[in-house]
Amino acid sequence: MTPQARTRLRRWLLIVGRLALGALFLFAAYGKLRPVDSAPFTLASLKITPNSLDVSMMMFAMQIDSYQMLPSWGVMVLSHTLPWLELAIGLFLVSGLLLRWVSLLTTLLLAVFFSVLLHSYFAGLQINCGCFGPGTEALNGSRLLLEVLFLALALAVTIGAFLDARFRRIARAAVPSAAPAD
Amino acid sequence: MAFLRRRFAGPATLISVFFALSIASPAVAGGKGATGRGLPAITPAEIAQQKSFGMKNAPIEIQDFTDFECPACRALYMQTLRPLINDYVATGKVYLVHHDFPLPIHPYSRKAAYYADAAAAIGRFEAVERVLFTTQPTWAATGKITPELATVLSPEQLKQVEELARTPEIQNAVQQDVDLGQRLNIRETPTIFITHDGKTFPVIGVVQYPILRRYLNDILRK
Repeated sequence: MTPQARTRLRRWLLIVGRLALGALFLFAAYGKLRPVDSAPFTLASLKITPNSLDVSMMMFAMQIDSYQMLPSWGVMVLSHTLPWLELAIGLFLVSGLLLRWVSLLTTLLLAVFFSVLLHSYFAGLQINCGCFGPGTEALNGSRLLLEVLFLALALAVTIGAFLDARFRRIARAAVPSAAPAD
Repeated sequence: MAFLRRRFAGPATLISVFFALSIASPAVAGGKGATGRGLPAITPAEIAQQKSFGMKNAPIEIQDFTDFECPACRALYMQTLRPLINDYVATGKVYLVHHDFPLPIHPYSRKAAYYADAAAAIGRFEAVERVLFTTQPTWAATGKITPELATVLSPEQLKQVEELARTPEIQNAVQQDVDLGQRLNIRETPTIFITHDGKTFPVIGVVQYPILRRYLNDILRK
């Protein structure tokens, strides 16, 4: 494989990785922000009103509360900010803007999620994960495995984004030296 | 023949009388029916009714699956359900239904559930539920539940509750709750199911009252 082909492949993998991760975060945000009484992937689930948002976020707050880690004010702050943060991260990842820093933030966030899930799993809490909104996603071994895969993907995208930026810098630096001097 | 008739007439009459009494009264025959023991007759449906608080037509229904020996259930009851009863059940906004879900890991929880359901049969569920949760650390350590019940029941009521707790009617009522919980795939206690506008959402574990209150206010405003 030529160096150019390798670069092209690396860039395509990076695009696929960031789109997959972005879609994951957009889906997580949608699951938490959609009206709780609507079925997923329906038109009704897109009719988000201030009132439906209040209910959705309080439902999410109760799911955060079941982890028994935060005081009520902490639960309220997290339940009202996390879905918007996930939405912003999803949009940034899909657009590719500020990729290095957004992917780094994504990796850190997923590492925190994984630690919390692991801690709760070993504490014997048989609660709902709440990762994609209300529902009955049990916190079990397969859920943890899925979280490891998400974390690995985020780490791969972060490493890819930093390497890509480095290669581009090197390539840019090489161009003026090859150009004839005035 | 006359000799035979004379010889067996006495015992045959005795057996007939005993058989007739056995059919008429399960208590004489050693049956365990609550009515046969002079105890109040009550069906599982009536026990379920006695374990529910508030008005059935309230806009929100909360079904609580709980275990009297589980510390998290105690926390939910003391910190969340007590204020909920005062603020939402008493005002007709929430209908709260208690379901027993004694877990096998707790040695005395099923016995406590039998006592609670027996107390429901004589209309004293609320007081017994409260004392069972309040004094949980004490009786869960020793298994001695009746001394705690004696603080809220009269000696006659306590005797009735002890006798009722041994009846199949009460034990079936607890088992019906357990069966319902298993059908709903309950994994942990406490688990509450909140129903509003025909939609039901499960919430597993302890929910802090300020958070539940805000959620209830939001769905009531909707």
